[in-house]
Amino acid sequence: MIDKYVAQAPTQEAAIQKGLEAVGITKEEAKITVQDPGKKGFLGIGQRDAIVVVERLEKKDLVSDLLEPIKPLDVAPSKPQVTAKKENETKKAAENLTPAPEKDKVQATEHAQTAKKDEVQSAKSATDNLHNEEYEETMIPAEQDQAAIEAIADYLEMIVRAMKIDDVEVFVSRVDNFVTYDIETESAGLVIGRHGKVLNGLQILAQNHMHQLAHSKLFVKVDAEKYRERRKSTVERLADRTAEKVVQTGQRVSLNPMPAHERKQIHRYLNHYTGVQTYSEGKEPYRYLVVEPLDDEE
Amino acid sequence: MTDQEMRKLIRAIVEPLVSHPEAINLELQETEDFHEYLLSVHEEDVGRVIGKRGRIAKAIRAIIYSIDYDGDKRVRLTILD
Repeated sequence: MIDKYVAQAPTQEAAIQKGLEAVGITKEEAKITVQDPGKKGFLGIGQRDAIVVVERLEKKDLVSDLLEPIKPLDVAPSKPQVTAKKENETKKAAENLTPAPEKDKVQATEHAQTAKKDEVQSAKSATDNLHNEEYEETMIPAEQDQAAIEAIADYLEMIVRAMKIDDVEVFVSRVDNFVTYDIETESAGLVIGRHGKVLNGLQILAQNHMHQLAHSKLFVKVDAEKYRERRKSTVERLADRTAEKVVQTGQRVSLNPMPAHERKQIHRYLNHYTGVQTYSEGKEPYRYLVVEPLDDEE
Repeated sequence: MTDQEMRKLIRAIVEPLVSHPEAINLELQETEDFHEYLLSVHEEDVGRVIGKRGRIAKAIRAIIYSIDYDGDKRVRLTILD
């Protein structure tokens, strides 16, 4: 018998349903945490599955708890603040995403849970209560990371708006420790800049600010109109052509200076190309990559 | 873009990065060729705004220099330390 299941499905509702079936319980018996509400995307581009965590609640008499969630609030007057804060965060996390009718129910469940905790707490001594409160005030790492991820999205949106681009929306997706911010606007060209200069600037600022805010080491990518992918294939084409030339002529070729992440793409790409080896020389920001023939003739 | 809007943009970028946002000061100095913005921040924050090897400063400049500013003169950002 499993107590917890992390479900992934195209929509939040489907994921919750899947999770409930996997654990073999009904919605009333579950604690549902939305980890990622997912994203619909457009014509299959940018689509992301929703991820929810479904956990079994140990208590069987949850229904009665649900019916009277308000009462404990009077008993412990200092606690509701924390509850309210939490709920705000949940709401914020769900913002700018597809409307999910399930959201309210999930929140209600969460609310009931917190309320239940209050009841237990009020029974404890005053000092004990104080300690617990302090503990709850300090954010747990995952929460801090989540807050940081959202703060960076706001930060990027604020900068782009200050660039007088009004139709901006920032979409966030996260895989492990890699967070991608997709800036969507009609004026993507302005956000990207010549040779991606502006986009790279935004990425550096976002990455830097993320390190200031987040608890874990999170890696930030900022993209607009799939620029990164487009650039990647350009860079790989360049790598192909250069490697061919090096093999044909037996001469080393230096490329123009480019940012670290693009050099990395070429190093990795040409790693599997037989007959050439790569290295970089020069000082940032003018560091450039050199492709030379592999010297294994001995 | 106007002076007012440029100031807003610089502040939007810098404010979240520093720990003393109230100490941010921005002045405009008109020279022959440039609209030169002089940015000063609290001494504890100078490093944050410049970054290792000027990484952050370079990123900030990349963004604000990309803006189409009213008139012929170009924008320049100087960070005072």
